[in-house]
Amino acid sequence: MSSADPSAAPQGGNGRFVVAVDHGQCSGTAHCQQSMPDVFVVIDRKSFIRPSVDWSMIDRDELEAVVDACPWFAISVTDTPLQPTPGGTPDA
Amino acid sequence: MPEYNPVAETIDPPWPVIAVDRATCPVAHVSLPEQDFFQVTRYDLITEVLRNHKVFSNVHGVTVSVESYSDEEQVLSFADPPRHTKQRRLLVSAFSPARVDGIAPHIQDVADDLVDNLPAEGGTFELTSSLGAPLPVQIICEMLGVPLADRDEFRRWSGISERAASMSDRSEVQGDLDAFSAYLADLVAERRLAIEAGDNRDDLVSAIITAEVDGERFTSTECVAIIRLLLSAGNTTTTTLICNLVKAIEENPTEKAKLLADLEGLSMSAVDEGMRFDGPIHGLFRTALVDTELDGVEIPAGCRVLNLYGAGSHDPAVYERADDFVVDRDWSSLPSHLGFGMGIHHCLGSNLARMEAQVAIETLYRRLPNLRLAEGLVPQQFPGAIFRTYGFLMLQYDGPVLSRK
Repeated sequence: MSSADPSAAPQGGNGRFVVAVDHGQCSGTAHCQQSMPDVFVVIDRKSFIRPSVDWSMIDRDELEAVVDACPWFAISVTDTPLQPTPGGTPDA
Repeated sequence: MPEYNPVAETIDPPWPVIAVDRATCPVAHVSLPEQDFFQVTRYDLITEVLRNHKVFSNVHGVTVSVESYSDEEQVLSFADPPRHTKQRRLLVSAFSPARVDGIAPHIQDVADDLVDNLPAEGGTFELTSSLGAPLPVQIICEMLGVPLADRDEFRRWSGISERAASMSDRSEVQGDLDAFSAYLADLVAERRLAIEAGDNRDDLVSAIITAEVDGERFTSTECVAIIRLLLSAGNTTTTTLICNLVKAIEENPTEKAKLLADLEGLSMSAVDEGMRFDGPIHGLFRTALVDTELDGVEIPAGCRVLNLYGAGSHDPAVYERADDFVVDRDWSSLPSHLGFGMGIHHCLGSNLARMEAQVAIETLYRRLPNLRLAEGLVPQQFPGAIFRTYGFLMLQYDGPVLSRK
């Protein structure tokens, strides 16, 4: 994924939870990307959620461990389902 | 035994010797008269240690001497979760990218003021004392709320604190370390009284004193330990980042030409390359809490592990031309260098240090025509396992000094 990829977003998720990255705090240390490269990608020192995550394959406990290990406390996982966006579907 | 001895007082570039160890014994047992530890030199293995904070602990110290900290003294780099998590959570916003971006114009003003102090007609100057040290000291003192009159002494104390990190016997500097702690204790006590009297200020010392974690505030001992660590970990390291970077730029004319052709476009990648190529922190220790193994090498509980960040950042399996200084690496597609560490203890001041170094080199090379190393003066490094720091760096330039942007 290049830095020009327009589809990476600071949040993603499915019908069960939402993963979000606070770009005011994220310092691009890439711990998340190294731990879960299928979910996170760091572009220009900010972490984004990959657009093609197969959320059914994501281990919630593993995700929570990444949240706990972020040195900038920039990642959150909440149980609020991601709502469909007009004209498209959320990054399911 | 590995070829590289981090405790030996050598000033030669260590990379060729480290390359041998990285290839033949990336996890090596080092047994010296006063030191016994496992030395790690491969990028993937260093990051494995740094990310496994449940096994590799910080509470016995990360520098050369083995420490025994009281609970109250276990702060930040010298703490493990959950204590570390609570402390760091209170401080990250003060050092976040958004906050640092907000003070960037002020950092630029301070850097310009320091350049204004140089001879307008051109000449020579020593970088460390003229800009490398005063810039980060002024910024962190302003953030903390340290009185202006105390800043020179502050800088001296923080320098001594950092040098002490490489010492196994600190008796020579213990008096200064105690004086520094006493000063900080007085600062905290005075500020606490002022806060109780309703004098709340927007500075880090006040924020640390009034911060609440699970309904509890830090004790005065904790406040002092946190402030001391913020200073000793982040002051002269930034000075060193600036000076090591300028030295690398000057010793690589082709890279310097690339940088000067696109100074603002390449300054940040140059800063990251400076951290990778010759960063201030050469290595830091961890202590195994349980019996474990790394790359097939058994590491018993209680043993120390020296992660040689510099060795990891020069790993050719991760970086092409790993032993070369290359100002235009595309850091958006490269693994993070280890100059700021990795994992939960990733340098809290990294955003600030990056910004200060970026502003410093942009200002120096924009305003000082034909900036170069002064002829006939060879920079000397302080030897040691923890820091890679030049004692002085004389530079030369032609006049007139150009105006501010």
